[in-house]
Amino acid sequence: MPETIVTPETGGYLLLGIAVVVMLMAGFAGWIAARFRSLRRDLETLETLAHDDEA
Amino acid sequence: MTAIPQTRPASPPMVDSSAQADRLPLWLTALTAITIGAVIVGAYFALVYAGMDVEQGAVQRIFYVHISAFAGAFIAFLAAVVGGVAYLIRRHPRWDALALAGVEVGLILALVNLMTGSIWARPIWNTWWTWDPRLVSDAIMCLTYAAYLMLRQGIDNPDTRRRFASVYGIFAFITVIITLVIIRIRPDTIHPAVIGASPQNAQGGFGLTDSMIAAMGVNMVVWSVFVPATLIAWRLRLEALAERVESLRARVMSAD
Repeated sequence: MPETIVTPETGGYLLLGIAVVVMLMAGFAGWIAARFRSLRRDLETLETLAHDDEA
Repeated sequence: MTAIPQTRPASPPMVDSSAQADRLPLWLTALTAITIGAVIVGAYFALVYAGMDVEQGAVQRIFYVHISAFAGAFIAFLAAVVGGVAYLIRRHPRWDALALAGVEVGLILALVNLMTGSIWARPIWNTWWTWDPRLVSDAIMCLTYAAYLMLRQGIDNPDTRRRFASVYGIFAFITVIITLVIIRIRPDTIHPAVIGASPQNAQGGFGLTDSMIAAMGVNMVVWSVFVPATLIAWRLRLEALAERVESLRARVMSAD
C-alpha cells in the first residue's frame, strides 16, 4: 500500500514570518525616514541661524 | 562720470545652497521604485507561483526569504569590509559611511534571516531555538555586528572611531564566513543545506521542483542585490545629510 503523506497546517507560521519581515524592513525604512525629517529640521534651523549671523 | 559704489568684496556665504543637495536624485528614485516592484514580484513567486511542499506545508515558503536575506546580509557585510579597507587606505569619511551603511543593512537582513529561521523551526523542529552550530554561529554574527554599532557610539574622536570601526568591520566578517560554511564542516548540525547535499542528520530539508527553483532564484536576486543596494544608497544619503548638519553646526558655533 502506498505511503500517504498528510501535509501539516503551517499557514499560521508563514503569516507570522511575513509579519516579522514586514515589521523589520518597514521599521528600518521608517527609522531612515524619521532621521531624514529630523536632520532636515536641524538643517533649516542652522541655516536660519547662519543667515542671522551673516546679517 | 558715474560714481562706482564702493562695496566690500562679498564674503563666502556661510550657508550652502541646500535646494540642489536636497533634491532626490533620479537614479535613487528609480532604484527605490524598481526594488519595491521586485519585492512584490518576489513575494508573488514565493507565496503563489512556487508549489506547496507536501511534507512541511505553507511554512516552507518562508525559506525563499530566509535564505535570500542571508545572501543580502552577506553582500552588505562585504560592502562594510570594502568600506573599511578603502577607509584605511584613503582615510576619506565616505568610505567609513559605506562601512556603517553596510553593517546596519546587513544586520537588519541577518535579523530577518534569524527570525524567519526560528519561525520555520517551530513547526518543523518543534522548537523555536536549539543550540545547533549553524544557529549559534548566526546569532554570534548578529551580536558581533550589533556590538560594532554600540562600540562606534562610544568613541568621540571621529578619526579614532573610523579607524577602529574599519578594523572591527573587517575582522567581523570572519563570523559571516563561519556561519556560511559551518553546516559543511560540522557533522552534528541538523540545519539542512538547500544548495548541495545536506548533512546526514539534517531535518526539514526539501527537494526543489522547477517552480521552487524559480522562486528561489527570483528572491535571491531581489534580496541579495536590489534590497541591500537600495537600503545602502538611502543610508549613505542620510549620512551625507548628517555630515552637512554637523559641518554647518560647527560653523555656526565658531561664528558665535
